[in-house]
Amino acid sequence: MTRPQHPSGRPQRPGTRPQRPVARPQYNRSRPPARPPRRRRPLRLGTLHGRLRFGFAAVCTLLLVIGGRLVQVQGLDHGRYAGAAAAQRVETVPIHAMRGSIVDRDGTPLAYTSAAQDITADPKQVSAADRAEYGAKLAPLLHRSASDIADDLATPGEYVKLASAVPQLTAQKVADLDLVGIYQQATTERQYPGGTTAANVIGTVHADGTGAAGIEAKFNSILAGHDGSLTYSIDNVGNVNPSSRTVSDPARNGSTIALTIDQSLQFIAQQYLDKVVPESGAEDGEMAILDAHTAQVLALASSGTFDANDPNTINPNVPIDPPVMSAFEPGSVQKAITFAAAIQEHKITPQTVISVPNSINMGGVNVSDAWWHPTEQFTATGILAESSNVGTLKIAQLLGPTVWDHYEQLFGVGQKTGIELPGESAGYLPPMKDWSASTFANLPFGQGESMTILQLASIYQTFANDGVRVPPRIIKSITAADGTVTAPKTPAGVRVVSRHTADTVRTMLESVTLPGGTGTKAAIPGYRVAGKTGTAQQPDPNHGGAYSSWMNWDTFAGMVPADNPQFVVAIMIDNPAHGVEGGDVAAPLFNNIASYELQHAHIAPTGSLSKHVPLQVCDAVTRRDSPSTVC
Amino acid sequence: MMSRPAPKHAPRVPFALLMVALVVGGLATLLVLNTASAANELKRHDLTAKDADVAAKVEQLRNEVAASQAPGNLARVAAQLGMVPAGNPAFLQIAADGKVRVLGSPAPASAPPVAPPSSAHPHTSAAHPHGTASKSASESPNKSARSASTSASRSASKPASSSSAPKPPTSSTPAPDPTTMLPGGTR
Repeated sequence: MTRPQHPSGRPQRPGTRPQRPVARPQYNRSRPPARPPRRRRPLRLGTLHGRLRFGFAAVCTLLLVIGGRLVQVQGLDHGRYAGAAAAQRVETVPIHAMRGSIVDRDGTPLAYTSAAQDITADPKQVSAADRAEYGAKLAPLLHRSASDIADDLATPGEYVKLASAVPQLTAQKVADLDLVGIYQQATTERQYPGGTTAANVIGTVHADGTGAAGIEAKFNSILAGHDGSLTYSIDNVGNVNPSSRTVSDPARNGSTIALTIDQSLQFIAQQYLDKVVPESGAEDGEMAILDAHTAQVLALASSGTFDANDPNTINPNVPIDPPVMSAFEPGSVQKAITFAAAIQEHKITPQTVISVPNSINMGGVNVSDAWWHPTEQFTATGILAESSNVGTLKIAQLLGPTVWDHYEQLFGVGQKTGIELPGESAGYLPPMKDWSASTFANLPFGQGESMTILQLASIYQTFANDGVRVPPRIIKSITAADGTVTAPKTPAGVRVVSRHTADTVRTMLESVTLPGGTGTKAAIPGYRVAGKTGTAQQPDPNHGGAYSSWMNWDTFAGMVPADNPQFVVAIMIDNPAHGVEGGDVAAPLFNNIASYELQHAHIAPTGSLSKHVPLQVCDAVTRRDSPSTVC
Repeated sequence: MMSRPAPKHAPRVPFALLMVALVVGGLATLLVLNTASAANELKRHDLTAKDADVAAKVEQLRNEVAASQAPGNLARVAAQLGMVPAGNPAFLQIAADGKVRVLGSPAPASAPPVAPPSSAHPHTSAAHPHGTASKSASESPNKSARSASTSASRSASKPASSSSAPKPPTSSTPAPDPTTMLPGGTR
């Protein structure tokens, strides 16, 4: 065994470290130095002693926990964390749909929504010294007193609303003031340019913009449309990330509803009612005007209607829309049904002469005429024209209760018309099984049953439309935001009486407005007017609900021109103090309204002459003293 | 290095110039684009403000038009102009043989129920957005209609333009020639 020779040639002694020669390069530094011999131990596998084992277990547990948490976070709770993360960087704001308009039959707006601004303030940003100055500057723009605004600005907190739904131009003037701490929020305002005009039909909206009454409530979902939303991502301080703007769901604006109402006629009707009701000392007045053939509602008016812009003007003690909500006893206007039934059943002709005493005993009660007269030989036309209760009951007896009731049903008495307005009253026609002995002594001349003014107009529309009753409707069309127009289906007409019967009844109704009739004040020079007066006694609550002799519902229903009807007007005046008969209050009102509508609708006189028949069989004295139409 | 048979690299000065030009050009383009972007942003802001301004004006005008269309305001403005409701006119029916029949009873329109305000300009009242129909305007249709019906038995002896309106309309409905008048109507 040779030992490596040191380059220096000097032998190295075992067991000693080689002496490093000074300043000599060492060439074999890589060579490991020789180690001292160690005592050999037998090879033995290591055992996991306590500490190591413990550590291993700890690491495994930790890994298990971490792994489990990983599964929990990434697998099980993924949605929640992803959602929370999205909530921090994604913002969704609603896009409010614009509420649809309500327009009249010519497209003139009755209700529409305009953009507006709420003026708000952060009181913390307005120092106490500035409040008065802010108030003074804002007061003229917001139409509030300066002190009120200053008081609002003194409220604790970071938000106070100074004004709601301010017009855009005003809001801009507020913005131009450059007041620190005054903010604006976009909002909308429902506008009713007509104020009271047709307010009973249109209704109004709640403060949150949803429909509260009338068409606004009934068609709220159609008018409201669907709100959309705008989703975009934001950074940590809430700034919009400009590259990620996405409209996820555009708003769908509400539909526009066109009514069959004629705004001008509606206005005139309300004006007349508001004038006549106080003049006559009445409590209330109602009017319904229908197109003669389509039965579209041209006007539905009542006196004292509220201003749709101001819900505070709503009287909580009266119905919002009396023409469809409140029923009254029609009185003699409903005699037309009895006459139409009798003619249709060939019981009478207009010339049939009936001996009419002053009173008649029927069903155990005495019924007398409204004026005293000896027993007269009236024609059927005369009984209608002079509105004799006794004569009407004699004709009703010819019909019998069952047939009479059948015609009442056909004319729609006691049934809802189905008009597209909320809260419609069906009126009341007592079912035959509930009749007492005297019931049929009242019903044929319109006492003991009730109807709305719309139902009354519908009855006369039957005569105007040659015997076919078309249920009245008030929705002309609905235009969606995308421009598609849907017109509601015209309801099927009900054939009530024959064309000939309707024509005959119209001629008889003409005699009412001719000299000798009760409704001469309804006559319009140059035109042929067919109509009927009514004076129904009201139940007196102070006398146990017995019929009062001075409280009346005064009514008139009619159509023009009689030989080619274009429209039907029904009027009710509730309990007038002056002029207690329908011919005194309601008939002149019919004259005014019908005169207006004839010119408004450009309806020329037909020029034909009435085929009226005598009202009674006259003796020589009556023939000399009475108008030519009587004998 | 003594001899140069062919230059291995492009001349350095043009290259440096090109680089400088590219850098300067790029910076200049960036500046121009940034400036244009900022200018467009300013323009957009102005136009947005203008748009909101015009939209507000349109909204206001729309409100005024809607208010002016409301019959209550129309009636009031018409009354202020001295106009009166026409009432029920008479009609002339000319038969085949040339005979003329008068349907209805012509009567002059009555005076306006409200005196026109002396100071207020007629157009200013139309701007009231929620002007409820004035009570005074309501009297107008009735008065004229009543006068038409009460004077039904008489034929008008003077043309309709001679109404007592302070501002009589210059071109009134021509009244029927008195010589063709026949008494009454079909009442």
